[in-house]
Amino acid sequence: MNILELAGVALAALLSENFILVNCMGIGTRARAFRNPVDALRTGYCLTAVMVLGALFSWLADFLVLTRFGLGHYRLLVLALLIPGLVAGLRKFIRVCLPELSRRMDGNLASISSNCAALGSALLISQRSYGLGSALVFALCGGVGATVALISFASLREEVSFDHCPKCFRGTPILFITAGLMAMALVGFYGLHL
Amino acid sequence: MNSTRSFRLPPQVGQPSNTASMMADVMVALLPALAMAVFFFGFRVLVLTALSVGSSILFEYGYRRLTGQSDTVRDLSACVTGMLLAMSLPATAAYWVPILGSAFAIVVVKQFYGGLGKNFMNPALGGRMLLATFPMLMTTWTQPLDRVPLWGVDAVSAATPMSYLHAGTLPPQSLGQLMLGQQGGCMGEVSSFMLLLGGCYLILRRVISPRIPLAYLGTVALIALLFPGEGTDPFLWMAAQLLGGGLLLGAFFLATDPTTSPVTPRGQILFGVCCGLLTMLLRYHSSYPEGVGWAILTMNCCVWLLDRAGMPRRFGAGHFSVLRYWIDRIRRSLAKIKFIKPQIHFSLRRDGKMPGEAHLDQIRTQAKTLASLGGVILATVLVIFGVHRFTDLDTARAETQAQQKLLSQVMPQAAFSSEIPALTAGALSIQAGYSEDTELVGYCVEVQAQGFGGVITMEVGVDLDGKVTGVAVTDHKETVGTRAMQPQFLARYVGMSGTIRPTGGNSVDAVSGATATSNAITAGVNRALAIVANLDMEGEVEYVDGEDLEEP
Repeated sequence: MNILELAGVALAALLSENFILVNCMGIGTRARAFRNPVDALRTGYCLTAVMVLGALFSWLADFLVLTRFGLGHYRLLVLALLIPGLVAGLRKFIRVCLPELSRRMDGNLASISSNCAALGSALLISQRSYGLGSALVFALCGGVGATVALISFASLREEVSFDHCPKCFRGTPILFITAGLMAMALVGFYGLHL
Repeated sequence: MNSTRSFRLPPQVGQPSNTASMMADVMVALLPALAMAVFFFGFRVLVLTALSVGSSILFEYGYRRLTGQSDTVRDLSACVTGMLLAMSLPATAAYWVPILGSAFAIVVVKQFYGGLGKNFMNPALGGRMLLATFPMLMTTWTQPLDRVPLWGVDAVSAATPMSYLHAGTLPPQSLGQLMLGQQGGCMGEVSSFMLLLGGCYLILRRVISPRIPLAYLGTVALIALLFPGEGTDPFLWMAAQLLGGGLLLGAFFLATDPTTSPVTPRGQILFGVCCGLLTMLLRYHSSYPEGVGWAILTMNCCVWLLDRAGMPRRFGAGHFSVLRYWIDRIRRSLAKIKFIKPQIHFSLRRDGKMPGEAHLDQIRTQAKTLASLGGVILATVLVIFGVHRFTDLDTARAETQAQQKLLSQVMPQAAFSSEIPALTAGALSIQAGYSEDTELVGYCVEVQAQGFGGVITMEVGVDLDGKVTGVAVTDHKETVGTRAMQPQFLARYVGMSGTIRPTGGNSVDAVSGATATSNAITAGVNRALAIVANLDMEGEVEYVDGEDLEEP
């Protein structure tokens, strides 16, 4: 596997296809993750872990079963069952084996099961027919990029006051404007290639 | 008199004391570069600057007035925003451009968050980068000393030093020309010498600290020195990278904005280094030739994190005490997470129940939920299966029709085609085209090339004489420059052979405003021509039987 190609995939996942700001897939996380940096960090690494595991299993399913037997039209269904099942299994495992960890981040992990980033990364991987190495790197860097975006958004909320805008913009609209401004900064990374 | 007196600082503090005097210093520092811009591009520069500054003040005043807040025009920050915005526009920009930019900068980026000191993003840069996302607005640069008329701009697009550097060659200008500003580019960023002068003035007046610009420029210089363009002198390459484009304007005037840069010294250095890294990444690898603005905007969003990372250590504490404290804390918090071995029993017979019987009881209670889930999945599978079954043939038929249409576009003289099993580097697939009486007429090669917004996939038909019979773009991600894919522009390649160059003999001119896309298509055609030239031109792919190989 070409190192440069892997680096290109990694950079694309980190910046130009950021799952939160550009692809808009990771925004289905719970609202607290956008407010509290610690919660954002926890959600971020849960998301990264689920994305990497999801990429691994969906790639295996795709490679071993779906493409081999020509069942590509079932891909969406398989992914839609696989990822929440994976999250449920992970939660069960952590609850039984690592109760302290479960106490800390069960809520974050539960919110991942309906997150589009986990589903979308698996789908993107199979649509672009990445190899296993690229798929794992893509999922890992996508998760890290989403984490950084979540943390910087959450920290912005601590630092910047959102109460100075006109009344009609308060609440969600100003958050959308903020996210839009942050996404505008990433427009320059569009079409990044190594 | 008393009011002015109260602002006065003790004589040992050589720093401007209030916002207005700081902003005035910034404007003074910008004046030489503005004067050079007037010299190079004519009086249109002054009109654009006046429009930008005026509209900035107007929007600031209007917004504060309408929302019933205090008047902040007197702190001159709106003037500086307007001036910086104007200086990062091309001299040929239409007159509505600075007005739109300053409206966005002042109202959305700055005042929505509470005005000066509370915004998280540099307003001038936010406005400028919004304009840069408009297609065609920021792509025409005039030649310096080619004074732009006040009305009716007929822009002759000139290549900026950045576009040469982006292509991997040194710009034709000498270092002196780059230094004084005889280069294409935005109004305010051409004259490197004047910008350096202004930056030094700001540093000497202690309006800005030298950490961010030095870290920024140092990182850029180091990367340029380490990775020079092929066959260029590393030092010349570094100098061109430093002096070309908006780097100096960005490093001295935009990245150092006190509101949107870190306050801790280490955070400032980190900020500069990260800006430099992102700038060079963008300059080397993105579709835009220049990356300063994007890099600074991206880093503006991370200022809080950098401030946290660069928090100064307490007096008397050891060098890595904070780091050690954090590592210790993380370790202690991780130590609390203990692995508990799951209690799984597989005894054959316990409490008079069969193995797994307790589990069965548990499942029985959940059976209803599971059954409905199973029902839904089954129904979905059946629906997908049915739809797939019924539409499968239609899909195949549509695919064949699309292929036939593509063939008629790429190779009109061929009646049908079939894929040949040749594995050539660079070609996605190769189809052999046959005429009605099954005679080989040429090959259609599917190739990819890097365009402006991503990979362009195209099909190129080449006949047996090595001449292009047609080009068709099958997939692309271009947002601007799609003009180059129109049929009349693609038709220019028909009949060409050999290596097609951008200029000179055997050339296809780039479509104006779509240079990157045109170059990508030309590169793709060249690659297809090379692939076909290296194919077995006899028309028959020789098949060596396994038995023949055994006895040489």
